Amino acid sequence: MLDRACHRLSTVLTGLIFHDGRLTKRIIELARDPLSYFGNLVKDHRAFTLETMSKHSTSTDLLQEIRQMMTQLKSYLLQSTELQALLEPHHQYTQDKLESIVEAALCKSVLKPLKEPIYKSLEKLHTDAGSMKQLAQNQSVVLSSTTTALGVTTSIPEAPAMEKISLKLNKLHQEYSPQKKIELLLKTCKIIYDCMSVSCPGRAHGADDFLPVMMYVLARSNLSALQLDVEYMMELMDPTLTLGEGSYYLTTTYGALEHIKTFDQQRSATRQLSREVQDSIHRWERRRTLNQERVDQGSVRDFLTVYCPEIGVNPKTLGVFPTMTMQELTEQCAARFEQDTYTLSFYMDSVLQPVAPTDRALTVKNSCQPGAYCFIFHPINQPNPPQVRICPTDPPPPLPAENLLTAEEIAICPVELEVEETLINF
Amino acid sequence: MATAGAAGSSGRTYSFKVVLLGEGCVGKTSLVLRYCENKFNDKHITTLQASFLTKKLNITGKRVNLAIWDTAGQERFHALGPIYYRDSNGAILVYDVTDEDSFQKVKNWVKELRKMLGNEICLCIVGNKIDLDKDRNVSVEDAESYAESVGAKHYHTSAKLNKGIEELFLDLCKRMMETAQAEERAKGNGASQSASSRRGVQIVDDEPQATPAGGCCSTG
Repeated sequence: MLDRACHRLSTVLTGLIFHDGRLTKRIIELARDPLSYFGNLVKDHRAFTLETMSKHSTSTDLLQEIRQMMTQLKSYLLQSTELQALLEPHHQYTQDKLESIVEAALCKSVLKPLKEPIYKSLEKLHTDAGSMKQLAQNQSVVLSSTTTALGVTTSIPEAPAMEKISLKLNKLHQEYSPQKKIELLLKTCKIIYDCMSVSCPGRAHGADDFLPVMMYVLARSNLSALQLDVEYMMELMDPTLTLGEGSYYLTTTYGALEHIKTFDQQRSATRQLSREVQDSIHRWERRRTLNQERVDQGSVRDFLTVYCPEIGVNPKTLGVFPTMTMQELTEQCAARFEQDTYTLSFYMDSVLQPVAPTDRALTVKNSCQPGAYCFIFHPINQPNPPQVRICPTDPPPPLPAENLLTAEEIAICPVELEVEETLINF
Repeated sequence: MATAGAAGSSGRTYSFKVVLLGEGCVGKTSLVLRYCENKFNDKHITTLQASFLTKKLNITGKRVNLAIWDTAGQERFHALGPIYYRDSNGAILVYDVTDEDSFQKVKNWVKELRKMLGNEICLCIVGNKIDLDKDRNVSVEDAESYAESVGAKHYHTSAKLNKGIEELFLDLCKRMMETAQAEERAKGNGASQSASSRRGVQIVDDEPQATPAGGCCSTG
């Protein structure tokens, strides 16, 4: 009876998952289409993020910038006709469902290609700040502490369970999607709870019991990887899930890590709020503020690619706000290319277009088809009509101007190519 | 699912985060387990555990989702408090009526919460274990006047006898709803979907509010 009900339920669910999967796939394809507006946003977002990644001084800044852009891409897409065109007419989605599908698709098209560069940057920031070393030192202190000193009151995971936990955490580290990482973290917590119950079956454990065991477990894990994972999940997760179970156990993991960082065997106590914990309040405040700014389409940050001094050469992706004028964009170019005397020209289908300094840059960009225009920053007395049409008739070269990559971009290139392959496998 | 009778006709869904604070051994875990004991609540992988629990309510026609976050009460973990309470709409501060020291700890938490979060957070001070009233070490008057002096509400509960718990949570929810509504009004009511990210208060849709039979109807 129950079996049959389960079977029916799973048939229904499979049907739903099929629909959802198809929409996810379509959104990912849209994100890769250089001739779609959304595809251009995603491409430029990636270029902008890769270019500016090394400029952030803290990991939180770096991650919050990415999350903010993702949230903006999401709000654009949810209001766009581009998404409407992808929906199947006979299949109704609730707003929540649609948002979660878009979130998953964005993770795949935005985060997956960025995951490796993000981790490299995070690692560098932490190594430079010395926090990796500190963590490693304290890890050995916690490792040598007795379970009593850690405050453990229940049974703890034995070797086979530790093995399982380690597999889960390794898998977590490999994942690019914050949501999938969190699911693996929850599975890890489940294993820990099961082990705690061995000594006392049927008893429900609260945070008093759980946190010390969590510390015991984490001290026997790859802490430096986990530290990056926790940060990645906390800052990049879907902001609408911040009240949920995943968020709770993520917070607990973060807490256990912080506690290990400040662990003092003599006192077995952490009286002082660590700087990081104090900061976390402010970081959270900031995240809250950032995410509040979402949805309003007017606030969606857009991007422009500018070449200098001629088409195809030295492309830079600039973030552009809706109210920015051509004059302001010219000033931004001057700063980015470090050329005070150059001027900005706008070409459409290889023809120079007249543009007033007071025109809004985004209005100019949106006046033509994606791929059919270009911005060139060049010496004033050297007008520079493009030699080639920019818009490819056959889609798509996923990376613009591959032979002109900067050293920094070349380092990233293999990752991107690999991603292109896996996207096809999706 | 269990609350199907109430769903559908109401206009809004509020989502609130409530943090549980208090020394170890004051009975935080039993308190919240008592409240959330609900055979239909099987969605979470850690169902049998008490660190994170959820509860769905229906209060005067409005749906409320509660997420209850337990914290480790041992002194050694005190410094981790902020990462748990930072985005809470409400806090339940539990002490043991037979343990004067645990009441002092509650006072420390109140001070910290007011300092960090101001008056945005609804505070409940809860004297638990009133089944042990004969061993009481914290006087009712002291506790109640202290609560009043800091803008908190005071409750007496017994997790063992299941006394006072329902009232505590229901009352807290009503206060959090009032706070959320006041916040919405302050923002000028012009917000559409974009209000949803504000402090976990989610406005799911804007149907006119039909009001079914009042009160809380989700507990068994």
